[in-house]
Amino acid sequence: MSSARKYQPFLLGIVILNLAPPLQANFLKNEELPIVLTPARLKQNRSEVPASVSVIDRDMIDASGLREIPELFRLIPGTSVGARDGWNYVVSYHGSNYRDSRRMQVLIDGRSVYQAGLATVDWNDIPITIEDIARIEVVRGPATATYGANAFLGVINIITRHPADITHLGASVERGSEHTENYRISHAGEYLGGHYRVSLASRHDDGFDIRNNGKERLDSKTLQLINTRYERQLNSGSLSLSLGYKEGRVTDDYSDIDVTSPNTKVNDYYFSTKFENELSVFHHIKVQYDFSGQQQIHRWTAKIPPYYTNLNQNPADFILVDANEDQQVNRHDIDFQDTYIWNKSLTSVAGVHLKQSKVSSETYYGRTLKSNNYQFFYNLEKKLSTKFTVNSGGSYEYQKDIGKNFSPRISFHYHINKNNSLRYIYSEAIRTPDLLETSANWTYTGRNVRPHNDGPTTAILLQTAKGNPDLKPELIQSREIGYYGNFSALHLQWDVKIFSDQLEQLISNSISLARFDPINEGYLKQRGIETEIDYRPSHQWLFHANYAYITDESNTLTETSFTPRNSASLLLSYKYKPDLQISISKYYAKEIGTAANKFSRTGIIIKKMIRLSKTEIELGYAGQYRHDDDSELLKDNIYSNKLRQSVSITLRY
Amino acid sequence: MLLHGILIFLIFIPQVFSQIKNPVVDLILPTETSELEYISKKLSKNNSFNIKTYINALPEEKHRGDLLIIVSDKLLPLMNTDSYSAKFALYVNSLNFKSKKLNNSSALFSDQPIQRQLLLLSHIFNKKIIVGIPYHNEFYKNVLKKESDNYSDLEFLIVKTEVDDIRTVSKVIQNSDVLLSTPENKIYNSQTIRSILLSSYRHQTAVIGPNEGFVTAGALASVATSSDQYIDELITIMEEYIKTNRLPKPKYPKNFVVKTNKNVAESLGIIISSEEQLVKIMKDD
Repeated sequence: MSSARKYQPFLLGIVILNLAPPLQANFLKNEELPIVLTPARLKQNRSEVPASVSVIDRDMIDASGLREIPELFRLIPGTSVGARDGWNYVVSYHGSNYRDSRRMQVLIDGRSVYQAGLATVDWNDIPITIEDIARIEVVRGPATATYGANAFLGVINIITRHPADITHLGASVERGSEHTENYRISHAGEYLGGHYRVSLASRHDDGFDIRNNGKERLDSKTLQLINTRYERQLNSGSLSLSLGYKEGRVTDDYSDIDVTSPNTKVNDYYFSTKFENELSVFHHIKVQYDFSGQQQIHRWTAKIPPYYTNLNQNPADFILVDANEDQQVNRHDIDFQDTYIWNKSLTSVAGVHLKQSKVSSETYYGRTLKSNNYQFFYNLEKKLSTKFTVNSGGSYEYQKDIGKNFSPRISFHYHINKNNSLRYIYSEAIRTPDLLETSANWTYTGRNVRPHNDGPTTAILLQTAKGNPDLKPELIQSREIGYYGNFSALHLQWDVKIFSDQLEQLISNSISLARFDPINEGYLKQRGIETEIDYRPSHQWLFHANYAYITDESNTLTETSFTPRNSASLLLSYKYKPDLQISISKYYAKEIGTAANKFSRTGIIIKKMIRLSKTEIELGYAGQYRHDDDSELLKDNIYSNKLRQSVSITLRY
Repeated sequence: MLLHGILIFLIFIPQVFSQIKNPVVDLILPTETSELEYISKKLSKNNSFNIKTYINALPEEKHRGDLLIIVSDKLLPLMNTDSYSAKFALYVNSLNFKSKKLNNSSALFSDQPIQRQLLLLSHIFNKKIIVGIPYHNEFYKNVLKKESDNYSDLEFLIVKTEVDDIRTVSKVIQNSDVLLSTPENKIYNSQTIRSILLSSYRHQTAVIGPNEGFVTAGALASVATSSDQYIDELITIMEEYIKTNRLPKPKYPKNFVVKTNKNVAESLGIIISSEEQLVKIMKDD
C-alpha cells in the first residue's frame, strides 16, 4: 500500500502523458476512439523478457514443410525431438530422459495440454493441426515463476491462428510415403459481432516401416479432429471461446503374449474460455477456464501360462484372457492473471492457478484418483535506469501429498542500447510427480478366461507395481548468461546463451510393470552454449539457424540418452515472387537415443501458387532425406527408404 | 472639455470606420463546446473581419453577413446557399468536400494528405519494407501509384477494401511490415479500430495514420495539425481573400506536427526519433 502511495505522483504523470486528448477532440468530439493497445496490454520487447525465448512463426512453419507439430521444435536451439513410435513423439529442451515429454509445459492459447494424471504431453492427442498454428513461443529454461508447475525445462506456448486472420474457406489434400493421407477443411466467418473459425481434419500414416529384426513395424495412426475458436471484442476487453474433439486409433507391435492386435483408441476433447478486461490503461486482467479430457480404450487378448495369474490350478498350459489398459483422465484449470503498471519503471504480473486432475483406470489404479494443485505466481519488473532492469519472480505451489514448494526466479538485464541486451538469469523449478508415479496400483485383470476348465473366468496377474507415495518433486537450478540483439535495419536477430543447470531428485526409472520403481535418485548436470540467428533481408528470403553444444553428467544413462552433444538446424527459404517458393532445411543431432544414434536429415519443399480471381491454389512437394543409416531414437524405428516424399494441393478462397 | 471631445473623436472614429469597412463573417459551429468556442474567440481577435457566431444553423436571411465559415462535415449542407460572396469550410474531409461540388467555396481539410503520412513512414523506417494500404476510394490508389515512384526502398501492397471489411485489412496486415491508413472512415472507425489495431499488434505490423486519435489508440505514428495551426491558417486564408478578392483552392492544412506512440514503438522494438525531430526532417525534405 505504501508503495502505491509513493508512486502516485508518477502515475498521475503518465496518465497525463499518455491520455492527452487527441487534437481533433479539441475541435470536435465526433468520434471517441478507445485506447486499444494500452500499456498494460503491450508485451515486453524480446530484449527485456526475463528468459531466453525463441519464436517459430507462420513463415517458418510454411518454409519448413513439416507436417507434425513436434517436428517443428527441431528449429529451437538445444531442443531434442524424437519419435518412440511413428505417432508417439517426445520433445524436450536439453533432452535428458527420452521416455516421455514430461518436463516441459505445453500450452495452446494458454490452455495446458500437459496431462497431469499421466505426467506427459501426448503430442498425437492434441486436437489441432499444424495449419491451425499462428506462432509458437518457446521459453528456453525453467519458467515456473510465470507458467506454474511442470514448466521445468521450459515452456512451449502455441498460439493458434486468429479467426480474422484466415480465409473464408480452405481445403487441402496431401498424399505421401508411408501411406500418408491428410485432409483438411477450414472455414472462418463473422458471428454475433465476433469472428469464428472451424477446422476439420483427417490424418493417416503407417509410421516406421521395419523393426531392427527386419520384421514389419506396426505403428500407424488414423485420426479425425474438429476444433473451433471464437473471438469477440468487448468494450474494454475481449472474450474467447474454443473447443475441440479428436478421435484416433493407433497400432502397436505385438508382444510375445499378444494374440489380438494391441491397438488403442483415444478420444480427446477440450473446452476453453478466456475473458480479458482492462480496468484502466495500466491495469489488465485475464481470467481463463479450461476443461480437457481423454478417454483411452485399449483392449486385447493375451495368451499366458496360468501360473502367471492367481489361477494356477487351471490345468491348461496356456490360457487366453481379455485384458485392458483403459483409462480416463480429465482436468479443470482456472487461471487468473493481473498485470499492473505502477509507474514508468515498475510493472507487476501476479496470479493464481487452480488445477484439478482426475484419473480413472482399472489396470493402472484400480480406482479413480483426484489431485488438486494450488499455485500463486508473480513477477516484478523494475527498471533501475535506462541501462539496467531487474526482474524478480516466484511461484508458490501447494499439493496435498507433495506439500508446499517455492520456486524463485531473478534476472538482470543490461541494455547496451534499446535493441541489444545482456541478461543473467537464475531460476529454480520443480516438477511434481504424477499420479502414476505416486499412486499407481498396477496390475492386469484377465476376463473371459478360456479354457476355464470349470474354474474361475476372471484372472488377476500376479505381477503388480505400486506407486511411491513418498516421492518428492524433481528440482532444477538453472543459471544462464545471454545476449539478444535485434539489428532491425538489417532484419537480423541474434541470440546466444551460456548455461549451467543442475537437476536433482530426478525420477529416472522406466515406467513399466516389470521394472517399476519410482525413486528420487537421479541427478544431472548440464552445461553448454547455444545460439540462434534469424535473418530476413527481404520478404523473399528467410534464413534461420541454430546450434547447441551440451555436455552432461549423470548417475544414470537414461538422463543423458536424449541430450545430443551437438545439435543444429538450418532453414533457408526463397520466394520467386509472387508464386513460387523453394526452401531447404537441415537438421542434425548426435548422439541421440538408446543406441547413441546420429540424426542427419535434409528437407526440401517446392510450392507453386496459382491465383484465380478470388481463389488461390497451392501445389506443394516436400521431400525428406536421411543421410545416416541409424534408426530414429530407438532401435526398432527404421524407414525402409531414406527418401520420404509427399505432394499436396491446397485451396484458399 | 473640447480638447477632450476631440480626443475621444480621434480615438473612436477610425474604429467606427473600420467596423463599417470590415466584412462580417458568420461562423457556424456544430455544437456548443468550450473547444469550439475557442475558434470563435481566436477568430474574433483578428482585425480584418468581424465574427458573428451561430450554432448549427445559418442566421435569418436579413441578418446574414458577407462571408461564411462552417466547421465540420456535419454542417456542409449549410454551404448550399447563395447568400454569401464566399464560403469557407473548416475541418471537413477532403473527398467529402470535393464530392459536394460547391460554388464560391473553399476549405481547410480535416484529413492529412496521404503523401505526408507516407513521407513520415519513410523517415521512421529507413529500410526496405512492404507498405500495406487498404483503400476504398480509388483516389488513394491513384495518388499512391504515382507516389510509389519516389520511394525506391518501399514496396507497395495496395488493396481495394469494402466498408468495414476487417478480413481484407487483416490480410494486408499479415503481408506487410507497415500498415498505412488512409483517412477513410469507411475502413477506419470506432467500430473497426479494435480489430485492426489488435491484428496489427498480433502480427507485429506497425500502423501509420490516419490521425492522432489512432496514435493514442495504438497506431505507431501519424501527422496531425493542431487547433492553433488550423485557426492560424484559416485566418491567413480569410485575410488573403479579403485583400485580393480571389478565392483560394480548398486545401490540406499546411502546418503539421508528428504524434508517436512510444509505448508501442518500444514493444515492437522500433527505434523512433522524437516528434520534433521527425517534423524537422520532413520539412527539410
